[in-house]
Amino acid sequence: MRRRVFLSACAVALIGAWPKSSAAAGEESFQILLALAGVVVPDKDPAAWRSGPAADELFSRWRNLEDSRRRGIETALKMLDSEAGKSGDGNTFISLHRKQRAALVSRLLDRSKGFASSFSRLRPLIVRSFYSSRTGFERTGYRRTTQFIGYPEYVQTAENWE
Amino acid sequence: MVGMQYDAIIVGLGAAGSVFTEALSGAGWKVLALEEGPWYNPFRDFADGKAIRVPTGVVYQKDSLRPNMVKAVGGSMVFYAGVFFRMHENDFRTRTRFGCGTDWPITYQELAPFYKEVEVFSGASGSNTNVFEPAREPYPNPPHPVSGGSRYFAAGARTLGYHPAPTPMSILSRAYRGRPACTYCAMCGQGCMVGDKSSPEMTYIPAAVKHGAHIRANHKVLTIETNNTGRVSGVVYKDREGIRHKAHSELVILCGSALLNPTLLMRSRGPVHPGGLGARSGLVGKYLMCHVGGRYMARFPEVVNSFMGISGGINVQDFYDGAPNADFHRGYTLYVSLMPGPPAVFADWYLESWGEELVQTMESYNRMTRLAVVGEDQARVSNTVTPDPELKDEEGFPAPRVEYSRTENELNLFDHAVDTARRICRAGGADDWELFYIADSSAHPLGTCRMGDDPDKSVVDRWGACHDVEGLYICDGSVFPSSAAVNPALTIMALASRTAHHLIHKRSG
Repeated sequence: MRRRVFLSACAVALIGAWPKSSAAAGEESFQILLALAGVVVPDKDPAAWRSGPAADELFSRWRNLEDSRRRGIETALKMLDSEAGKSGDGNTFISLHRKQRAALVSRLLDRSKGFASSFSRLRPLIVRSFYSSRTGFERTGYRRTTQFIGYPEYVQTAENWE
Repeated sequence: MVGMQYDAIIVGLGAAGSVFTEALSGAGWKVLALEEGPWYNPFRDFADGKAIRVPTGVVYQKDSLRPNMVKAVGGSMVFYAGVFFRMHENDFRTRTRFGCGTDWPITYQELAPFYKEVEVFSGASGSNTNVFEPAREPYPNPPHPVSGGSRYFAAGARTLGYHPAPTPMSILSRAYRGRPACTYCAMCGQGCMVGDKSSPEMTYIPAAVKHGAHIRANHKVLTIETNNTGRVSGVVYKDREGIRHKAHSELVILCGSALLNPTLLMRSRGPVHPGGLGARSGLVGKYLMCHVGGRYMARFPEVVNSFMGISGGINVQDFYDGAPNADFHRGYTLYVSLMPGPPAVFADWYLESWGEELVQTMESYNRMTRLAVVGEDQARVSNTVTPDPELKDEEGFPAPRVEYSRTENELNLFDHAVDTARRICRAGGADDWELFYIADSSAHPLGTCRMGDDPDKSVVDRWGACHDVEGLYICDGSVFPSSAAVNPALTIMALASRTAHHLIHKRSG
């Protein structure tokens, strides 16, 4: 019981730490998505998905999803909560420890074709968010630069140039 | 429909069409060049990678290989890697020398001056140290620095007694003719924003504009028109607003690609050509070829930063003409490529793992290098592009339908290439080897309007002139009788340059 209280407190802290814009969006699902993100890309910094560039990137992508796609993902996220609740302890996915969350995701991927299908859409969202963020660049050693010189003027004024 | 009269109409502004447009307009011809795709502004359109997602309308049959193709001013080269090999002398004579494939009606020596011309125009970078290539003059620019995984690959190849050489590139290794040298940002596949990649929109197209060519992007050619004698008379096309126009010319040069040329020819019927244009041999749309392609990942002990640099690096052609006791015809080129995109793309598209496994793999992202195989594909009459019986485009014309499958020959060649790549990388110090994806991808659709001297066995002659339609030329990757085992861009451009010179010479008498 004491452990559950502690985990719940952590979950509240996690939600509280999230930018106000997220809270204002009222997206409970997003908090489950964040917890899942920590399972899909478990960063060595436990706070990576709580705040910072990766979480910001995920929020931005989540907010810009088409409604139909977001609804499909929300269905999968609800499955996580539902599965977590089957233990009889009133658990939610967020309230589980990271290893428990990972075990639950594995279990669902094995058992549910519907979840596996949704996961294949969730995974890119999370993976791209993390590895497009500064944190992801740091973890992989990635960096890049580009510059553009530009077309000469006679091309820019050519017929059919947009 | 009343339309303008032109000396030549070019259909499709990819590798070949761009060369034709520049060469003919440069000779003072009045040229109309029509391209179905957009004319990208590199600065505006290449920043987010969305520029590559133009639907081609091609229908692929289940289990068919799906070659990439881009509709744009500059064609697929806008997004290509810049690998700029010449074909070898043997490639033009595979039937005579190896008992497989089809001989070309032209020789390497006939094409060599035009290879050189295109290389000079484009500022190709390379070195003539490849012992398997025909003797040649120096490249206009030096080879790119050997970087990343190429060092390991070259060392491994030498250890095994192979002959690694710098891969020729149409990417500038130094400033050239007003364009800057490569910054090694590795965003070639997203479109070059720097201007060093010598794809046509950076080279031939600006020159053609300067010559006064009439370039029309987002203009789709609906039919090639012929008159009562069967001769070409022009084209009907649709502009960006959907309004139909006619343009007149006694010379139409079709450069729409191996995937799109066949259906355009088939739907261009006239009183003398009721079955479509070029139909005499029955070979339009037949013998589609796609290189035996594949990408492999090697992981080295030290950081190689293969997310930057050029996709070509070092190549090995020791098995180009085959291998001892091989269970396949002809051979392949192996070269060092780049990581397939930044970390997010690699993790999303190339890996399926999640959790600790994903994180561990990604931690070695900058120690990995990708290797590419380009293997010769044997032309088969059963690999085709035909009009789809059901799906139609918005004009009601059948969409191109691709049916293509590999045979044991290509799979055996592929296995041999994988084994060679693996041995080279291990000899070079790779601490691990993982195969992430295999064979069924190739960016080089070839064939479907093959070139030959015999009108019963080919669609066009040695100049690209259609055997049975006066005034119609076809000259792009579709005319290849065999695929060779190198990236085809330079050969397509050289063929176009050769035919352009022929037409100019013919006209000037």
